[in-house]
Amino acid sequence: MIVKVRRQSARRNEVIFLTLLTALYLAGIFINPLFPFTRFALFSDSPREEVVFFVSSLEGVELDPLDFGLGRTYDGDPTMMMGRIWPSINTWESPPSEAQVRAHLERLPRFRPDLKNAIICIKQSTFGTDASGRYDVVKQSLYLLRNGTLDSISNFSIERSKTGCTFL
Amino acid sequence: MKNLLKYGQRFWNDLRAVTLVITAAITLDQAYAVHQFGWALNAHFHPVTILSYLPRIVIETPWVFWTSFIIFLTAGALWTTRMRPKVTATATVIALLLFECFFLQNVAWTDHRLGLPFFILILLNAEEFFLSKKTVLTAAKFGVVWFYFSAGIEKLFDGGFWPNGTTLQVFAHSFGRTGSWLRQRILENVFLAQTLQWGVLAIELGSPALFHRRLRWIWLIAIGFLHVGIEELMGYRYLLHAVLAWRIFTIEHIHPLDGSEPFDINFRKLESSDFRILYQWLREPHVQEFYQRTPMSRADVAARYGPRVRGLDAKFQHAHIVTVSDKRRALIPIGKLQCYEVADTPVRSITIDLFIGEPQFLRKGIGQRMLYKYLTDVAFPLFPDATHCIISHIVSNYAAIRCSKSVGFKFLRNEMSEGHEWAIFAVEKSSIRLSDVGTT
Repeated sequence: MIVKVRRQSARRNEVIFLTLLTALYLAGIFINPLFPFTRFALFSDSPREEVVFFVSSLEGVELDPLDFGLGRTYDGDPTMMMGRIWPSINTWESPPSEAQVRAHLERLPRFRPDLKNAIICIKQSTFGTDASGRYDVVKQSLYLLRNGTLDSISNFSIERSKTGCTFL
Repeated sequence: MKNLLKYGQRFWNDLRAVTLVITAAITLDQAYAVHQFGWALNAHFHPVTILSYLPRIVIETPWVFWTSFIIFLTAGALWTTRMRPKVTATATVIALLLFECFFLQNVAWTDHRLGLPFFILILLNAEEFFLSKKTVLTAAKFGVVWFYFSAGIEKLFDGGFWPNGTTLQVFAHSFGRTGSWLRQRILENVFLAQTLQWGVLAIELGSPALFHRRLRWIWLIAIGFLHVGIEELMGYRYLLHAVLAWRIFTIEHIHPLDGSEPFDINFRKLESSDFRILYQWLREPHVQEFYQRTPMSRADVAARYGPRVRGLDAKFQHAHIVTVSDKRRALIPIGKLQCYEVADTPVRSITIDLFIGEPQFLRKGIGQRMLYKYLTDVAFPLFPDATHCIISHIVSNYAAIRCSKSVGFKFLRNEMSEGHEWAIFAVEKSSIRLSDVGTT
């Protein structure tokens, strides 16, 4: 009898442990994933395009898009596995449209007073599959942020080059 | 070279060592990334670990992170040497949890490479307390399949039509290595990208095939290709996952765990290095039921079997480990036997105690072959004057009784001892035979 009780106890411990582990993993999937109870999604999202920003100063010096809220943030699955997220409108799941970028740049100087005396050029390149099946730039937009306001690029001659904008 | 191969095989057979080395490699990579890029403390904090709700000052303190890293490496190394296994195993898992939680909580990129190795380390830690080896291996298999299958399911249902070609081009362009040959091909040809995506989906969704004995090899090879491809394309160091999957699903073929193939049975003297496995066997339910009914700690095992190994136990001088092997395999210990002379019998007799510790080797017909060979090759040659052998089994141990009968043992009588009824059997040296009566 003692033997039977002990045997059942060993089995019971196994069953309790594995049930608990399974329950925590299921909670990680359906409620809120918290490492180590997370799903293993492995790039399961399906983006169809990618937006890359190139930011440069009047002198043609390359600037970090992250400082302008334009850095690309991977917010795809597994979303909950990233502990720090840079504030950006350029997210993986939903790349920003031209209108969204304009709205963002108009708001930006309110949070970045230093931009009120600067001239910044922003190039938005949208990558996707072209008609021949190649992955390439399918659309490009240029913005000019001058003294804290979004200006028309027609006021400047802009040369598309590696350094972004050259102001003449 | 031969020793190197032998060592390699021993390492490969030890799931704990393989998992720890893989985990250590990933943590080193992560620690290097922290050292190189630092933490993104000025980005938004997002709770992603079970320790996210600790005070921020704890989570963001670098020395806590680095200390847990050092403790993990140290405790992990000690665990592989079996030094205070319960303590070192627990310290390893807790330190790794701290390390990974602080890492994930403070960096601005995703990294879920440690998910599967961590899960297996939790199982191995529980093995030190109560989980059986078989359960660990089974749960680890489910973990591997779950890892791939859930990834496939999410690709199907998470965000639109995944195998569209462009998605892989986006990943390749965004995360691919600049010098990658595959990246260039993918970016140039959307149809290749689409084909590869269908392939990935098929491999992931078909991962339950790993449970199928024959299909398993196809899937293991496919998973190998998948990871090599990821490595070439992204340099993501995910290859280690494939190593873990390979270890977990091929061990049965390298190790004759199911006893389905013919193999040789051999015996060797019990050594002190066998105490660990002996301790594990004595915890197996089938051994506890009929052989070791009172639980034994690791220290009890050393105290009982130590004198026998050192030749200090006059009665039990001949304790042996039974091993199995075939042409390709090393000697795998599966059970323990011992023989000694019985004093109070009318004729000179010996008796035998034996059990098969590895549950996978039960009911394969090994017991009778083992008993026959032990009697003829080991026990009677050790006691050349003995003419009979006596063996006793608890009356409800039908498998063992069938096994003894198949070797020629005849029933003598029943006896009560230690609260159980025992059936006593005996065989004359000249009557030992091997017949197909039953299996154990």
